[in-house]
Amino acid sequence: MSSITDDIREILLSHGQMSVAISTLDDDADLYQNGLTSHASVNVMLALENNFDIEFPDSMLRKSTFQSVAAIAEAIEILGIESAEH
Amino acid sequence: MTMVTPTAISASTRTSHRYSRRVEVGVDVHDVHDVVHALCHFGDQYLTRVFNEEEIAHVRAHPLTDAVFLTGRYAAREAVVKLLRLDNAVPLRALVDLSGVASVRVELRGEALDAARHKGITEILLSIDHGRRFATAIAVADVDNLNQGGPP
Repeated sequence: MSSITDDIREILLSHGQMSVAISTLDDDADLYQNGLTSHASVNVMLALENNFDIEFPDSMLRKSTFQSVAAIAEAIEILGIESAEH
Repeated sequence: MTMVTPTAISASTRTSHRYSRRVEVGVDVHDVHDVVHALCHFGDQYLTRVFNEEEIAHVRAHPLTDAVFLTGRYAAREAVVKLLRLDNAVPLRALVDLSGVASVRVELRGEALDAARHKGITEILLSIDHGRRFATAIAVADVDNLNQGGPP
């Protein structure tokens, strides 16, 4: 069974178009400093929404939300908890 | 490209000696292949999340040039986001709305409008250009320090 971070890494591999292999980065590494562009982060956001059945509110569409694998995982956990409550 | 009218130029010249002025600039270059990737993988989900109804109607009417057009519009929003120094990961249509095709107008909302007011920006001029591979946009704003709400 894959973890949230495994799924995030798979999505970054498919849609992140990064200049560095995601497998070489730890969960706290800065994705923007490793080639994640603003447009690629749109693709990553849409793929995350489909994969986890969530929707990022406009207020969360900040660079800090997509700054690292750990930051994305934290955002997904927050949104997952919110959707479970509604 | 949004044109600067002679009236605007002369007004700027007349008032330039009364208080300091400066220009804010935002530039973006975008690869058309990035937009093609998004259209192929996410289709309408991508269109409706990033672009407004007028832009979507335009690409439906001009499907052969849709990716090039959308890349230009994405670059334009990103240029405005950079000019305003916003922290958005996505240049949202809800914050930076664009209208018109031959002459593009910028309408700011929410925190984008707040940031512009804080900087003393009342108007943003845009120039967008496309090639087959890339699109680029430049956003320029004349900053009125007299009306500026915060530090430069």
